[in-house]
Amino acid sequence: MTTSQTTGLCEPVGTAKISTGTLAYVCARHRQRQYDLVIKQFKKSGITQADLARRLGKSPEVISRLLARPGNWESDTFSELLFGISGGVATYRVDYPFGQRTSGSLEPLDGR
Amino acid sequence: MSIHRILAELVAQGRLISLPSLFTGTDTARLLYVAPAVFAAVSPPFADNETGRRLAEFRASLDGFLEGGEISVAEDPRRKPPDAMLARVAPVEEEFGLRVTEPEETSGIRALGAFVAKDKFVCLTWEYREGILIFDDEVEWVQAAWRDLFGSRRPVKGESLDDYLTNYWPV
Repeated sequence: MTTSQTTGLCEPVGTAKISTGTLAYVCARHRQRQYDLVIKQFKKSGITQADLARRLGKSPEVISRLLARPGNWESDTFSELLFGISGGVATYRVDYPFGQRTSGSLEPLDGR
Repeated sequence: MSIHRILAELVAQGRLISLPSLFTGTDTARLLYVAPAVFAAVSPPFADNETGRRLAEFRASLDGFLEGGEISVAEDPRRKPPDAMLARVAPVEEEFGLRVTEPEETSGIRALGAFVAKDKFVCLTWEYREGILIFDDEVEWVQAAWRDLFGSRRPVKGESLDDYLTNYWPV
């Protein structure tokens, strides 16, 4: 296990266990990214939470709670929110904070 | 002396630390100045245990703030939803609490401070939520810490949340 000079996080190496703290950071970061995307789309859409609730067949209370913070959403919940808000779907890319590849590079889904 | 000049001196003296994002470094949309105790708590490596998880969640929240992420904000401390990420604290003056509510099975972490300018937050204290027995005492402590650092210079007191933040979501 080595520690990045940039992030201070432990880089996964070999079979060494990644600390639960490092994993928690990475997961929390991802939750924030999903939340940013959903809230930005929601603001842009001009629809109300009640509209979204009706579109998704959920109660307004559930929508309100989902939009209140970056929660540990199920993948399907994230997809439903994005699509329900704007008809959008997420696209993906991988960043490498440890710098072994070009940060922000786009990788094809088949790994080529 | 302006509050910004005082802030610069506090940073030069090491009494406040300008926190970089773990991912984007000093290239951030917002700015966070933290007390040394906060900096120590959120600096990796994060331990392979429950404490490490909680502090990593705390740091991720701060990095989300730094990187300009959307932040849900509650203005009324008496009627705030449990999920608000940032909330005014009572008694309502200029102080805000950053609310870390993950991991879900924990009561989270609260970090208190105030804004020196729009999108510039000074975080003076942190505590596990279960460690805060009397919240008003925590607020008084933060107000005293602010006076100790900034003297008579007061934090931002805005008319609306627009005076404090970009990219916020009122809850």
